[in-house]
Amino acid sequence: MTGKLVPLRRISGDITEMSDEALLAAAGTGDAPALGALFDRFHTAVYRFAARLPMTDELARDDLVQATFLELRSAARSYRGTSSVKTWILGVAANVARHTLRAERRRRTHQAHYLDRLPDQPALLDAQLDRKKLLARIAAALAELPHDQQVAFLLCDLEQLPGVEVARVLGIPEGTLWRRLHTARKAMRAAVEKEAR
Amino acid sequence: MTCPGDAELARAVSLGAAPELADHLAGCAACRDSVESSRRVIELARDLPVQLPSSARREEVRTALLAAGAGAGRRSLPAAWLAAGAAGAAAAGLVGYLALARAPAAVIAHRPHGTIHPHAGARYLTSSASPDEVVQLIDGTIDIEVEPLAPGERFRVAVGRAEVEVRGTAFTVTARAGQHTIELLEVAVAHGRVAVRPEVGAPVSLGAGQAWRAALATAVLSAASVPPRAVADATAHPVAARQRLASGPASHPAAVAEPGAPQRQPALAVAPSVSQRRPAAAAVPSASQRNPAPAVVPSASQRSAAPAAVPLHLAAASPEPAPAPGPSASAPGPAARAPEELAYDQAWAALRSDDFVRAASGFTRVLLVAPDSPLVEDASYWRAVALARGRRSAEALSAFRDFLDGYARSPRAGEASAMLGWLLIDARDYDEAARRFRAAAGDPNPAVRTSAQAGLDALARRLR
Repeated sequence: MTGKLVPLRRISGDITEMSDEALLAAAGTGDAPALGALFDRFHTAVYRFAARLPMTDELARDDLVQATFLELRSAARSYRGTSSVKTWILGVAANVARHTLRAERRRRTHQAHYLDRLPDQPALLDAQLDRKKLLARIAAALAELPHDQQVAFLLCDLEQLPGVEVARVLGIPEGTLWRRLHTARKAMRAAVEKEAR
Repeated sequence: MTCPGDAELARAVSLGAAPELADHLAGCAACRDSVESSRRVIELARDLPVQLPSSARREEVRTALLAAGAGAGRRSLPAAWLAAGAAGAAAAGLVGYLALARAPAAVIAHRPHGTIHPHAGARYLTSSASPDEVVQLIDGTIDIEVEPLAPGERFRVAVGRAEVEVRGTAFTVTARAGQHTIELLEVAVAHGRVAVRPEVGAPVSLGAGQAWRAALATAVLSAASVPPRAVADATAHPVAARQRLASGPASHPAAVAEPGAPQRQPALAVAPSVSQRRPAAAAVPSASQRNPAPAVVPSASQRSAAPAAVPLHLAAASPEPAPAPGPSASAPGPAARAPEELAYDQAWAALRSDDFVRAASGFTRVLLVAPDSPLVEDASYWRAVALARGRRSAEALSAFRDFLDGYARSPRAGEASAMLGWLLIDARDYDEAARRFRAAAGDPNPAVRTSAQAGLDALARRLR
């Protein structure tokens, strides 16, 4: 069995002991092992972020994840150390996603509107089904949010990243971030309360 | 204290309330409810299921990422997107919009190009990802569809020490695992070109409808009804074909090509499986059937023998554990039947599921494996139908002509003539189209006659 050998340029030092910041800096110089190490450390967070966005399928998620890490090579120079590398990478992912989700958003919104027009279902007896339905409603509400609010909710509330860092990587004032979060949460609450009624 | 603003409330949800705000929340039910219900919603949202990729898929993405990083240099991704966006805007409308939405996929240089359709019992694995995709076939038969490759990209199937290398194409590879070796048995090409480098013997280049078989010492066989000219359109629509496979059934080509001609599909209905096949059975559907659905219900064994499209992945095709070279463990079922019968039924199952690439490939196999079989006539006809429905118009034209040349007295000759006529209209060969429609106009089946007349009427309108 022959495997594919990807040409790698060695970086000095043990890659497993390098800080996130050092790896990012190395990746910015075109260092493939550093990029691979960043992928190893943060791909789960980026995948999780991508998985919560309204995507069509696994391939679209893979594309987003791959595009995010590819983008790190050129974007690494803009990293100023004002946030953790994880927050910064998720910020890059959010920007990448902004460009990719327009069509998907339109489809999801349409679906959500359709869902709203469905006649009320009789109360479900099974609590588990109730919960599933509730989660589905939350997912639909999340998908309906404008992208900026969606990103704020995902990064701050689901990924639990510090708001001040998220505001920096998104390039917005902190107050703007909190207002977006407030609006997003309000919409999500409305979805849940609608379900409860 | 008056009620706090939105930002302050949101901050309190995330970071906790400052003392002054905490005092306010204690006395203000509305604000308190806002904070508490927000926290409940967040907790609920954290329970939303998140589907993470398998380790194999993650490894593929990682490998592709590093390969792209090594090969793409320091290209600016946003700039590439801007270019893609500009192209989408120029296209305008919905198509442009969708193209824009898909732009990032085009930016990522290296994605799997192959879609593998394993036959029952096939065992294979991928040993490297794009840009140099290598599929190791251990045992059995796989149909492979490969998108056109960019310069520097390769797609190979390794069988033991033999190798099959392709560009945009669809083909079938069969291997047999021995105790210590893996032997390349056969390569059959549905469309495109394939280079076969056997372990022993000179390399061979195959075109559409050609096959290489080990038993004949690297001889190149041509399917009886597939002349070399069929190669001409070999790589015209491989990407579209892949998309069809991924997105499900496609409509009949005639149904979208000529809105004003509702009777363009004279003959797509019932292709009998081997066990159900009747000699000289001209199963002709209603000519107004716009989306012909095969009427024959497949048996359970036929269903299981027709695996769904499987994207290139790292796992074995069969339900068996991870493959390893060694004693053959192929499925027992197929061996009990003649290869051409198996190929015929699999091809028909593929046709029924609108998998036209596999269907054409399978019917080609019948022609190659058993050129003297009584199945050949039907296989020739249905191969042409599969090519037509798969929108491989040039190859379908050749296939229909060859069928009619070889089986002029076939009960399906009228159907084939009518279908060929419509293809010829698309090809703007109006003279031959008129001849073919006239030939079909005397068919005993009224549906075929109606279709032929509709074709003649369409021709008359065009020539007016």
